[in-house]
Amino acid sequence: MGSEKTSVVKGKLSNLLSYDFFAVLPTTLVFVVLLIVPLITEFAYAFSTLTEPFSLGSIIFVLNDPLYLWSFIRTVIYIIIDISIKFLVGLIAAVALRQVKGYKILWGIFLLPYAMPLVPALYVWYCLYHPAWGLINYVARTTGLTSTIINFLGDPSIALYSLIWAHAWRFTPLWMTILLAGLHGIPEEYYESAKIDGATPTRTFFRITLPLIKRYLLLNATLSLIWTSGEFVSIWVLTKGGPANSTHVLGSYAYWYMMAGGNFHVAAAALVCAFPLLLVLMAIFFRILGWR
Amino acid sequence: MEIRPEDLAKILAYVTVIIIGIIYLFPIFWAFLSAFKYEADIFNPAALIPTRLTLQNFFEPYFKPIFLQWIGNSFIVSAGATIIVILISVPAGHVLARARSKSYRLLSHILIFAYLFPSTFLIVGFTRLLGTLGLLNSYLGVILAYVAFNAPYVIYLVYSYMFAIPVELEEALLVDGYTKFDILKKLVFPLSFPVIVTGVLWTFMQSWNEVLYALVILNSPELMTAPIGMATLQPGESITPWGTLWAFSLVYSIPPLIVFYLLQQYYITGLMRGAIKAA
Repeated sequence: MGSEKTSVVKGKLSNLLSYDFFAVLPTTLVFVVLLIVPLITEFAYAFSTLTEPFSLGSIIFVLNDPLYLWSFIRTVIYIIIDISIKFLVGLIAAVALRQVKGYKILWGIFLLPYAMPLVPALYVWYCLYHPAWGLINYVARTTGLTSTIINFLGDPSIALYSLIWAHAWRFTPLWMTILLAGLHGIPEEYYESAKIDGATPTRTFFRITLPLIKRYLLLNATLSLIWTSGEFVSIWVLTKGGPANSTHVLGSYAYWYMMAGGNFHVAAAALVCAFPLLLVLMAIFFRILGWR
Repeated sequence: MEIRPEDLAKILAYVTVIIIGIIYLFPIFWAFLSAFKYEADIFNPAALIPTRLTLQNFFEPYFKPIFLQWIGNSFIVSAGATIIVILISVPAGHVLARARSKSYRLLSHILIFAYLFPSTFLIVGFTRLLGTLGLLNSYLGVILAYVAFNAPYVIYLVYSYMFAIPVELEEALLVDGYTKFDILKKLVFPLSFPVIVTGVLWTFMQSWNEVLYALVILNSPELMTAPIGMATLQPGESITPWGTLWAFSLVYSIPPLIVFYLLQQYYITGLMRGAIKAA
C-alpha cells in the first residue's frame, strides 16, 4: 500500500518536472511576474491614496474629474473615428490597387507609412500641420482654398481630429494589407459565376465579398479598437494633451498624473476605471471568435 | 468613341491609386527631404523643391555622439527583447499546442487575455514593480516590458503554426529514442522558421517604435532609446532644430525599413495566418 502511494506521488512529481513543465516555465514566470503582479499592484494603487492605504479616494477623485470623463469620451471618439478612417481608406486602396498593373510592387511601396518608425511618422504630420510653415496651410492659401490660417494642432475644436488623422494615416497601409489578404483568400470561381449570372460589381461586393470576409474583418476591427484604446504616443508627440487640455485621452491622462503630477494612485485609478471599456471590447472579440 | 464600363473602372482605379499615393507617400518624401535642406528652406514652404541641398544637418553640433548612443540603446533593448521572446515562446507555443491537461489549457487561455491586453493600461503597476525590483532606469527594465507585451503574440503565432506539423512525426521520433529537447532543436525550431521570422520582425519593430514604457522607465539621457531621445530635441516649436531632427529620423528609420522590406513576405504570410495586432 505505502509503496504504491509513493510511486503515484513520484509519478506525479516526474510528470511535474517533465520537459513540458520546463518548456512553459519561463513563459509562466513572465505572465505571473510581469503581467499578473503588475495588475494586482495597479489595483492596490487605485484603491488607495497618497495618505491612506485602503481608500476609494483616488477612484472618487477621477470619477468626479471632468477632465477624466472627457478623456474617457475622447478615447471612445478616437478609437471609432480611427477605425473608420483605416477601414474606409484601406478598403478603397485595396480594391483600387487590385485593378492596377504590378500591384505587388505598389503594395510594398504603399506600406511605407507603416514600415517607418512611429515617431518620425507623427513628426511628418507635425510639420505638415504647422501654421507658419506647414505644407497644408501653404497649399490651402496659395490655391485660395482658405484665407485664414488653420491651426490644426492649436485649435481646441479640431486638434483631436488632427491627431486621429495622423494616427489613422500611419496605420491605413496595415489595414489595406489586412483587406488585401482577406480578398486574396476568396476563390476566383465565386466571382466568375457571379459574372455569368450578370451580377453588378456593387451586388457582388455586398453579396459575395463582404459576407465571406465579415468575420475576419470584425475580429481585426475589434482588435484595433482594443489596442487603440491605449493610445498615447500621438498625443505625446503632437500636442502633449493641449491646447487647453482638449486632446487628453485615457493613456495621456494617466501618464501626466504619474509623471508630472507624481500621483501614481490617481493614474492607476484612471486606468482601472477604464477596465470596463476593455472588458466590453474583449467580450465582443470573444463573441465573434465563437466563445461562450 | 465610346468608353466601356470596364475601362472606366480601370481609369477610376488608377486615379484612386495616384491620389492615395499623393496623400500617403508624398508627405514622407517632403519631410525627409528636410534632412538635406538648409534651415531657411525648411521654414519656407514655397521652397517645396529646393534649389540647393546640403549634408550639414548630419554634421551639426546637435548630431553628437549621443545620437549614435540612442540608436545603439534602441538596438540593445530591441535585440535583447527579441532574443528572449523567441527563446521562451517557441518551446512554450509547441508544448501548449500539444498538451491536453487542464493546467496547460488554463495557461493558453491566460495567453489570449495577455495578447489582447493593451500595454498602456498596465503602466502604473509595471513601473511600481520595476521600482521594487530596482530596475528603473535600466536596459533590463525596458527589455522585460517588451518581453511581457510581445511574447503572448509570438507564442500564439507558434501555437497556431504547430497544428501544421503532424504529431505522428514527433511520436515516431520519440519511439526512435530522441528526447523532447532533441525534437525542439531538430524539428520544431527548423520547421517553424517562417513564424519565427514573423515573430522576430514583430518584436523588433514593436520595441524599436515603443515610447511609453521607455519614457517612464528611462530617465538618464545616455540610456534613452532613439524615439525618446529625439523628443528632447523638440523643446519649443520655435527653436526646434528640424533639419537635425529629420537627419536623425532618417538614420533611425533606415534599420527597420531594411528589415521590413527584406522580410516583408514573412510578415504578409504571418498576417494571412490570422488576426494580427493592428492598433
